[in-house]
Amino acid sequence: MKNSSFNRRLLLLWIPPLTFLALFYFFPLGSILGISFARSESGLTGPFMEALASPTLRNVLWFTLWQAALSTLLTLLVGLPGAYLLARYEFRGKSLLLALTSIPFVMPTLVVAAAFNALLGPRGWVNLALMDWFNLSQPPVQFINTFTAILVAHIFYNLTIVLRMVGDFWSHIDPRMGQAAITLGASPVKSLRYITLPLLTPAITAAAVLIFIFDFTSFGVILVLGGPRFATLEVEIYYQTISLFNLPLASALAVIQLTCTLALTVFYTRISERLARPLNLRPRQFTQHRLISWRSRLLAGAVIVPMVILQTIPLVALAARSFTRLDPERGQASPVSPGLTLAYYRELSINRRESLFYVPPTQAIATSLGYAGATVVLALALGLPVAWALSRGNGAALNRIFDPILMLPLGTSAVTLGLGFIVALNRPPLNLRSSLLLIPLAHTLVALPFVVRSLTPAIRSIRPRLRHAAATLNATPGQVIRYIDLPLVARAVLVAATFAFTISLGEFGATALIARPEYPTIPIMIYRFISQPGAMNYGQALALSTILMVITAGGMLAIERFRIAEIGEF
Amino acid sequence: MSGLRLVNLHKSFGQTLAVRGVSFEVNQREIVALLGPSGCGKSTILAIIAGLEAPDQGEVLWEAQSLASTPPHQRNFGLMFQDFALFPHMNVADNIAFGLRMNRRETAEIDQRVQATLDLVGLPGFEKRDVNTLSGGEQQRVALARSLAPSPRLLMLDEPLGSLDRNLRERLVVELGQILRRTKQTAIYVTHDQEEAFALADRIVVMNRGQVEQVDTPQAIYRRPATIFVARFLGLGNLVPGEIRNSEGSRFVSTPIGNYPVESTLEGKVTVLIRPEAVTLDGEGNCQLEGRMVSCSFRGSTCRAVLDVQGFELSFDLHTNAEIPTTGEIICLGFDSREALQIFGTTLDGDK
Repeated sequence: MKNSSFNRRLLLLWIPPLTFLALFYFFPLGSILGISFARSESGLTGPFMEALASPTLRNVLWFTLWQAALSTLLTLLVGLPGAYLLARYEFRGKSLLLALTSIPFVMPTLVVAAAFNALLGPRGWVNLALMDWFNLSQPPVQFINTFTAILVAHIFYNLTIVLRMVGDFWSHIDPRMGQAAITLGASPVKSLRYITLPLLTPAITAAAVLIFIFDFTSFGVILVLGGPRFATLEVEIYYQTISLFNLPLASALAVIQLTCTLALTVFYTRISERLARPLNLRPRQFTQHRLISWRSRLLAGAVIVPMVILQTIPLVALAARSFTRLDPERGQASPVSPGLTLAYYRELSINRRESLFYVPPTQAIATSLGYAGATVVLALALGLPVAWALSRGNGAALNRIFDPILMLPLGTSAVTLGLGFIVALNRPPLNLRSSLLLIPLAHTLVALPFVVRSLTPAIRSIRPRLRHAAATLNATPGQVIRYIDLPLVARAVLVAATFAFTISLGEFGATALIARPEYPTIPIMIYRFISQPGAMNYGQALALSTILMVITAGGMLAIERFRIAEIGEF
Repeated sequence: MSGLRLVNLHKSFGQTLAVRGVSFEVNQREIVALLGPSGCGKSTILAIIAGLEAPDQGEVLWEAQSLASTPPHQRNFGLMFQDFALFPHMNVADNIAFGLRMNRRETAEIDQRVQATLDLVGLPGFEKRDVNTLSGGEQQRVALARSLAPSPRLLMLDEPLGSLDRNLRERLVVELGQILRRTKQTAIYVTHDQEEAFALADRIVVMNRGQVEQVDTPQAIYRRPATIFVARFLGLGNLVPGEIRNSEGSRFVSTPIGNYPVESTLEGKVTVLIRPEAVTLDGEGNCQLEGRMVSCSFRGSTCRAVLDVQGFELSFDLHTNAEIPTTGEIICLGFDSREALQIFGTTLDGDK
């Protein structure tokens, strides 16, 4: 009896988010897929046969898979030493290090692309310096439009997932496990191989699956840094939709992509249940040492310095570049000389071409902030009940079924979803095409998994016993909420809110399709500047990117100040 | 036969001096207990012996050879942790076989050894069990089997019964001693419980604040604690200040509770320990000590009486075959001062 009423209450909690997903995820997605396949001349299976028969598309699928696999593997290899350091040592500046390394994660792809361009592009700092020192006429470093660029950008993006998910788990593993192995005659390498790594497997698998999903659905990085030679499924969907308008084929590809990520999510949920071992997790003060010996300090330096360079230098290069005027490109006459300048920032507020679509930057910033604020409210309103359900009904069947569904939007083509919004939400009963709510709704879909994952552990940490204890100390139910629940959850809510905020600020794929031209967000503005030629447009793109970077970085540093900064438990 | 020798070990962590000049020896086939309150440096010494920590100063020798350049996994010293540190991703047999596999033993030999150690610790047939489903006592036995399986030349046990409840502890301490002696295992047993140390050890090293206070057999330590700290730690808390005086050729100690003849060679201010078991409820007028009965807790053949003697609360074990005085009654105790008193050359406030 108790069980069934418990399940009924869980179901009640799931109803709002599921309704939301039904209306704003399944309905648009179903509509666009339905329309697309209806247009297919070869029936429902035709586009799939076409996709799988075409050698080009088979190559795209193959490339998508193995670039994601390779990127994931490299990210793990680069991240694990850092995770070890963060897990086993306590040192000054650690939270700053965590904050710095997590800034890339929330950076919009366009900003990241612009940043790598500013550092390693043909007219980036490195090439300019090398050309200057060695008197070269051609940029010596070829980075943009290479496969290396894709891999480096993927590592740049996802490193923080390894640092946090694996590092946090690692910091709670009893170091005496490894010591026990060593006193039983295992060399340090064998102890790592037979004890530490197996114990870390759940965390490493979780991180790897998440990173793989991000790399598998990678869009902006491939488009802007990889160049025309490389295409993932997501990029191909974009081409087929926007350039070739082959909707049936694009939809078939979107279904293939979704199936792959869904399969991965289900596989992950299964494997994580099997991998879960009752570990005797230890509080950090028992597992962490200070960096005392010179050897450990040297080791820490060797891990931290390259990591910080990788994670910050591109962004620094971007900011520096946005304040710098360079020599005019060849063939382009210009009266100005190289040096520091605020011209790009000033130019943002001038409508030189008297364009109808001109939007002053302050308005784009205001639009972005408004959308982000609405996303925060929506995502929290939907995420809190879900997190509550997940933390209460541990292992309940309902949770096991619904939890992976939440993850689906992460693996769905943003382009397809954007198109779905356009075709499905422009007629009754849901006529939202001109509503300003449309974009926050789309952003909430992407932010929801992050919000839920940040809230669940915090809510789970409120043990019923704490409430009972408060009640026996004469606290009224209201006082219990005020003095027990709220303080324990408040920081997690803040972290979740910041995630929703930064995700909304940076989202580009879906926004590009559904944003109204008179209300562009910052990423849309950046894209407009990038796609127009000339040093001034490029400079303005850099200036806007820098502004966006400062806003997101500010948000991320705010999370770190509140210290609960886990990406949560994926 | 000489086994382990520690020479003047020092180790500090930042500002904290964890170990300050510790030296002692463990002979082969001997069980030595390292006894002291928590935070006295016991576990750090184990970590140094195992090679998990390097000493700032001093040396660890095995059969007169320095181990400074021997990495921990080549020392062949076993270490059993307080909460066992069983590998949760392996079953019982794999846990026990781990050390043997690291030594690249033959599969058949490993299987046979796993069975033999499981028999030894009283868990035959537990090979395939998941370690996460074991009870506390079973986990303790598996941990012991795991550390015994590779036949370490020295086994260190770090509070191996510390996480178990009292009943289980009393039973297992006897069993543990039997197993260690049957396998002729050289062992260092770390504990903060003097009863465990008394029950198991051939010799005891008492430690306080990173230093060795006394090394001796259990009986000798109990009979003649070397310092006030050791006396207190063993539960001998009847300590009063005193002064040695000479009077007409004989020496006595003058204390607030009375003057007693002594044979001590000490001079000046001292501390006097009155052993709680060496007194009798006196009826024959041989009144050495007079006090008011505060409480008496019955313990079967004896009762632990707390007396207020001139403002000092002193405890004594009184035999219950005589009539037990009631609370508030003034009673008189007799003792032979050579047997019942021990004099320390330090004062109480120095606590050393």
